[in-house]
Amino acid sequence: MMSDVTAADKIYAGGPILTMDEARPAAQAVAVLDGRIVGVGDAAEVLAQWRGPSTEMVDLGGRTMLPGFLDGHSHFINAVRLASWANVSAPPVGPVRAIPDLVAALQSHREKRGIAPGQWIMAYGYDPTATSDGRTLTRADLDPAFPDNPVLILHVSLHGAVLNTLGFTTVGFDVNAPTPPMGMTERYPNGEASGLVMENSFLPVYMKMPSPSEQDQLDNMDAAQQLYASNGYTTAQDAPMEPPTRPLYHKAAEQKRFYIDFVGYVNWGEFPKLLETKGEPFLGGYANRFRIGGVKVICDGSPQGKTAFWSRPLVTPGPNGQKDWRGEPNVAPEELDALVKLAYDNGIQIMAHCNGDAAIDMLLDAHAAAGAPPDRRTVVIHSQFVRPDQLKKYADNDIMASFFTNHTFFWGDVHVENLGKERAYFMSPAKSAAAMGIHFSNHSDFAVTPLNPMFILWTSVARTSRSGQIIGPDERLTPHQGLRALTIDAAHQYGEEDDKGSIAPGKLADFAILDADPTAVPVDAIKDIKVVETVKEGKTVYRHAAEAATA
Amino acid sequence: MSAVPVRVIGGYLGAGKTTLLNALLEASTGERIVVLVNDFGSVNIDARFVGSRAGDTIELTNGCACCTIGDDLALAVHRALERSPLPDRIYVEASGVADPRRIGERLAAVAGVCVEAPLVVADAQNVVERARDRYVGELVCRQLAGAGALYLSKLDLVDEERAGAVREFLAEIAAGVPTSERDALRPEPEFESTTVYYDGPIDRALFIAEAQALTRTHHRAKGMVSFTDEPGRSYIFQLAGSTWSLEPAGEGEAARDGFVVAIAPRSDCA
Repeated sequence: MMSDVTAADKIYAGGPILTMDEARPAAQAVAVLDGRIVGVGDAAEVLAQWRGPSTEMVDLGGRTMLPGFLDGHSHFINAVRLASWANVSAPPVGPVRAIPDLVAALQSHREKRGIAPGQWIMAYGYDPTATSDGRTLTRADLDPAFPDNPVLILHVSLHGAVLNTLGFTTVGFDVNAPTPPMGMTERYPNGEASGLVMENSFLPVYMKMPSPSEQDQLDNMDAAQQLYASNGYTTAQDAPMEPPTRPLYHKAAEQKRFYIDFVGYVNWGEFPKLLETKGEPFLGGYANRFRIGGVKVICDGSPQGKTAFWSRPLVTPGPNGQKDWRGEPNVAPEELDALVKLAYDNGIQIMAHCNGDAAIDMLLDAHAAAGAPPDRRTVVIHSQFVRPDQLKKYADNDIMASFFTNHTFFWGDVHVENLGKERAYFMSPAKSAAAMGIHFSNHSDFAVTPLNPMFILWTSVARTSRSGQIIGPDERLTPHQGLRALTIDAAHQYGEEDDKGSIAPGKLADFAILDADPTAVPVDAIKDIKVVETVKEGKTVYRHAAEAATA
Repeated sequence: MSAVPVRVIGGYLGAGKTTLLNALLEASTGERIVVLVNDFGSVNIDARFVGSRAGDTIELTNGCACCTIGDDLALAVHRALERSPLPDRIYVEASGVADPRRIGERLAAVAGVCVEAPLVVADAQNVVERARDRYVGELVCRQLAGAGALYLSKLDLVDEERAGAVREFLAEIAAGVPTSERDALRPEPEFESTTVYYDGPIDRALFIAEAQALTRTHHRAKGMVSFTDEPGRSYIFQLAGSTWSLEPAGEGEAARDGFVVAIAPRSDCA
């Protein structure tokens, strides 16, 4: 009779188990002891070896178990800040199809949070082009429902907002003031600002926007982690940690607020000083589930904003109508060279945001100039417009990519317009990378696109834009390949492949349990798969409630 | 209350922006200057001048201050305007790869400021090469072409031939932009230049009326235009003091018409 000393705490069985372990890709049962996986295999085998009198048998009920997802790249701080804000995005990101939905969402948010008169109601994700009303939201839509609360609704671009009348008066915005240079203020026929202010018109509002206190942000850490955990992530990231947020994370860790693993990357601007004064944070492992993974540098901008840096010009004009525009670097080559060398000399991982191929050239030059040391797990974040010759350099230099295939859906059509089919179709070339043995993860860049890993998986497999155009049919992955980018290869990116990313004995019992098997449903159904439970080291950290709350 | 003038100091890495800003801070007598920088590390203010230091601000003994920009430049400018007494002027250090003109445009929305055209520092030793660099060439050219004034630094480190080549290069890429080569203490251009572009031939009578009006506000101007009543021919326009002239341009010069650069005594931003 099996004694309890060598019995598992839990055994999961009763549904497909996709291990992501190439040595044993499928299993029927998984045994967990002290937060680690101890047995994986046929049900009979695992039960015989690991079941004891107090072993909890967890019935998957036909649901699919995968390793807990690892965040390839995102900005966790958004979750901390947005935790107290209402989501008024359009589907698939949020619930708003028309203005009445938006008002209802805000009312529901006010109730749920117990927001008192006089207190701000904050929301994010408003997209005037995605609602069916055919016009922009105005104060007149908001004032009747919110006479006593100042309301601020961030535009989906983050470059503007809609305010209600009380919102404007609270921030001291004069609705009759003229529009400043490079500003955009929507107005009623009588000339008064009607609600939406963008760019330079938004600036005076932005400067007076209420920001959550440090205590509020600490208190939001649970909700922020729930956002990640409800999406099946057991390892989250913030890269870079903007200098004011880094102390917040240290404090949250001291207060033991993390229950999923959290990895922060230091902003390159403060990296040399931090290295000088406090070398250890980079070199140590997790302390209360927080560790510093390395340094993040931003080499160029965004492709849809035309601020990425390409070697060949766009086919459309630049952001100010410039001809032969190829974007611009965000960092000087000599600065990048110095940074890469400093990081390599100190054994610190580099995550480099590069969207355009010229930015990637700069990074590859910096890597070469620093002696091209092997296996530094240097990650090119986004790497969207990488060229085939550059992929070869990744392969030869153990350089990884963290792709962003969500762009094929959200901006695929825009990229085809700006870059032409040839370059656009080769964007985020995951299949070519896989064929060359390059490790890559796939990310949300939350809050740029939603966290939902099944949506990310779907974009990597379908590469279908909003208009239905397939952005590079040859670069579509199989669901299995797509799942690797969320699990074992993302673990490789973190240098944690010995502990995470697959369901194998010895690894942490981090699991995501889904309501369907992504490898067994039609491709287009993948994006509708939901996470029903998330487990961190054998403990459930998220369980889907019967009545889904749209947060 | 009159608006506080804000000027962005731009130019590629190592051109001498920080040296310039340092000199401005230390040499100020009476004027309360606030300088916004990306980080204190490079500024290196002489200890004699440092009065106190707290968080993001170094207060100088002469009433000036140096502040780090932090997350958001507009916010940093806004904070500088909350100082008491109000600064007399603000300088903003642009990063080496930034477009100082774009930075200034964004700051135009901050209430209480008047944004002046950027001053761009060009390093005599390497600006020409930088302007041709495969990675940063275009942005360096953009910085120079968008300047309201240029300051040519490190002339003492180059020979006359190189100095001449650099001046020629700058005259071409930043036509009409006043260039200061004096010591760092006087970066303020004595003059302000405005360039007007015309899209094709223009009405002669209207242009003549404009030229006349220009003599009242500007003391020098130069340009090349063509007229609707004589489309095939270009004219060189020159204005000096209170008189102006139009001379037919030579055949080879015609291709570049359609602009007038006018230079006026620097106006205060008020």
